[in-house]
Amino acid sequence: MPTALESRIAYIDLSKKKVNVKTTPREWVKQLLGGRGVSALILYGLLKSEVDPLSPENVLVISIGLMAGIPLPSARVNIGAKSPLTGAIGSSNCGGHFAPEMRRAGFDHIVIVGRAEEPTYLWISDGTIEFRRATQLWGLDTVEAQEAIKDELGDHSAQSLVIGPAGENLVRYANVRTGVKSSAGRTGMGAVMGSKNLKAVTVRGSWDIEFAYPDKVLDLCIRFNENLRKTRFFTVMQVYGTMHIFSYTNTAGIVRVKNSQSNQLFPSDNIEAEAVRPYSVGHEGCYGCPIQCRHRYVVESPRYGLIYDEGPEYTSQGCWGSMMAINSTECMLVCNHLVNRLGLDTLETGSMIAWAIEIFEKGLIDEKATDGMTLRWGSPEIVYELIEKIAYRKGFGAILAEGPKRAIEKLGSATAYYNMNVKGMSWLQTEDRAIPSFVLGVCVSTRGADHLRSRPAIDLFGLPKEFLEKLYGAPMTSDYTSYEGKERMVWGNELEYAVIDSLGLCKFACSHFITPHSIYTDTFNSYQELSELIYYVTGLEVTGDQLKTCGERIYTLERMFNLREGFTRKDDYPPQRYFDEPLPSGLPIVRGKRMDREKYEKLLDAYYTLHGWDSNGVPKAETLRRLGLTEEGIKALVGEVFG
Amino acid sequence: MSRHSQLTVRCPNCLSKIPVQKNSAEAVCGKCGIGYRICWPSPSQPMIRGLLAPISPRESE
Repeated sequence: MPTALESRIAYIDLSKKKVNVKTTPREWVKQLLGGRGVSALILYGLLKSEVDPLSPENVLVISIGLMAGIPLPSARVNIGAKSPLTGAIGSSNCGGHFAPEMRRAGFDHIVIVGRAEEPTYLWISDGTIEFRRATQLWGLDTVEAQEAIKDELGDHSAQSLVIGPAGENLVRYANVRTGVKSSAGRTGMGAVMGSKNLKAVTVRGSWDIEFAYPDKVLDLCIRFNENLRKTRFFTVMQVYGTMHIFSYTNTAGIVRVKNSQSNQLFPSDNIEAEAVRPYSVGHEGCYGCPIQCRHRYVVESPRYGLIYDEGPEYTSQGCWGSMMAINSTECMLVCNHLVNRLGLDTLETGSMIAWAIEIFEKGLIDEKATDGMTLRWGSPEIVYELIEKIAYRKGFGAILAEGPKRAIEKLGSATAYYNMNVKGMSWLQTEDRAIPSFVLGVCVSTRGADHLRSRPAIDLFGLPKEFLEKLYGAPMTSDYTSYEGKERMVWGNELEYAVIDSLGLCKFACSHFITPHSIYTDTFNSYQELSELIYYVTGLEVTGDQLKTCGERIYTLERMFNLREGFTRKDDYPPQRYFDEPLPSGLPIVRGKRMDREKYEKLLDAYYTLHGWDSNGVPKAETLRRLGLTEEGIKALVGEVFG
Repeated sequence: MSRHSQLTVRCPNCLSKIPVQKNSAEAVCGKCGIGYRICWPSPSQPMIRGLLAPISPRESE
């Protein structure tokens, strides 16, 4: 019977069609929990530097969170590998129903190396692993493939992680998907699967999951859910999902418009959250979640006919609405559908298209580069065309499919200024240059420009200074345009998010006990509540302080991976545009703002200091010793399984 | 019942709390004077939906 503490790892060599099963060392759980944390250890321990991410030597790690299967939103599964988009650590997680099913099937971690001779999928059921031919699935979109697998197995409860045509075609930001909507979107993990000829990993288990103290687990989960239901956040998420954020941010002037040329789009009525409601036929959610935050929608498109899909999220709302200057519900829903089905990261795809339109507009490329297309803002047809070209690597799409670094090389260095990326991964759909905490978080994120590694949304709440000091343990201003104390805000959130990701919990649904929403708790100590949860689920005693140290360890380990690949302090800066161009629009607090380089340098220094890293962002020897991350320490941990 | 039973929204400009009349479609910040359109995801929850009037240059379609 699977438990979180007595779990198993499958090491699978696709080239040799061999499987080796081991027990997860207890020390891994204590130090890295599961999911993202364990994935970072395996990648650091098994990968040699400078491995081509699309070669058989890359290591793909599918790792569920330590809490997978409890009756809370605990369905996050992490996909890790060296990223073909950035060359840095690749790490992305998604919800759905896969993770609890994988635990019931008897595995917590699956490590995949090599390359299958022909398209293959893995069928994992009740402790067994089978290699199955997938030539009949190759070319199917992400939903068609899942349905075909279920039909073939005669089991419509089987859960799959799949790639779409984008992953098969090695688009460097292809994602991995499960269900209709859940995406491990960032860092190109779908391309890694495609490079291994791996169309899907399918799991089905009939084993029960055993908890150390089942009654206590149930009591605690009921309490968490009750607390969650009391929040404003719960109500608005149930009605609008993450799309509710857009009204506030567009009103303020912190959304990305026309690549990054402006920061507000008006009119915007057709891309606001309530615009989707007429298309909605109900709501859907992940395993164990009382929110059910995403719409199930139907839209009729002249180009694509009748479409069913789920979502969109705030990110897609921004990418296919404000970033393209398109105020159209239909366009937003159709684009969301296209990237879902083709298996593309919505954010990277939107950002690359926005960049292409801007550099075309500025005359840096012309129709010769774009296969005769005249790129312009506000055109759904151009966006549809480019999404398809990217997924199938057709013409100009093949250049955009390469991601920021390689596309800039192909289209010329003059285009680089307009490409909004950090470490080779594109900035999100928000315009953050008025908010230093957001900018720092995105720039130091270990996987490239990304908000889900630390975003302190709490910075926008205007909370009293005393409150923030209690929460973060040091003074900081409640002015979101200020730099004061913001390094601590980012650092604090990084550690908590690393813990949440490694437990496999949903950041949004954890809002009542975790930053940025731990304001709803009375304790100001979300780690304490999490350690209680871990104890009841596993029987493992981990104090709140130890849990926080797990967060530090995970973040530092990811940093070490990147340093080994040649990333340094210079890769922790926003695009030059953030320093040069003041925001042209927005509320008075935002308008005219740009980043101050001198203040940013100091912020970065202070942030490194909190982590125990030197001024180059390299962990100090005493930090490595404290976290058990010396070369010997890592060797010992990895060696327990991999020799 | 929400712990936040008072009907308020947060001004995105000055971050003050703005009281909102039940079912009202607009609210004005008492501190910075900016007016906002209000929508209601639920009868007890107002949310900022946009500006009442333009206050700066913006991007149009």
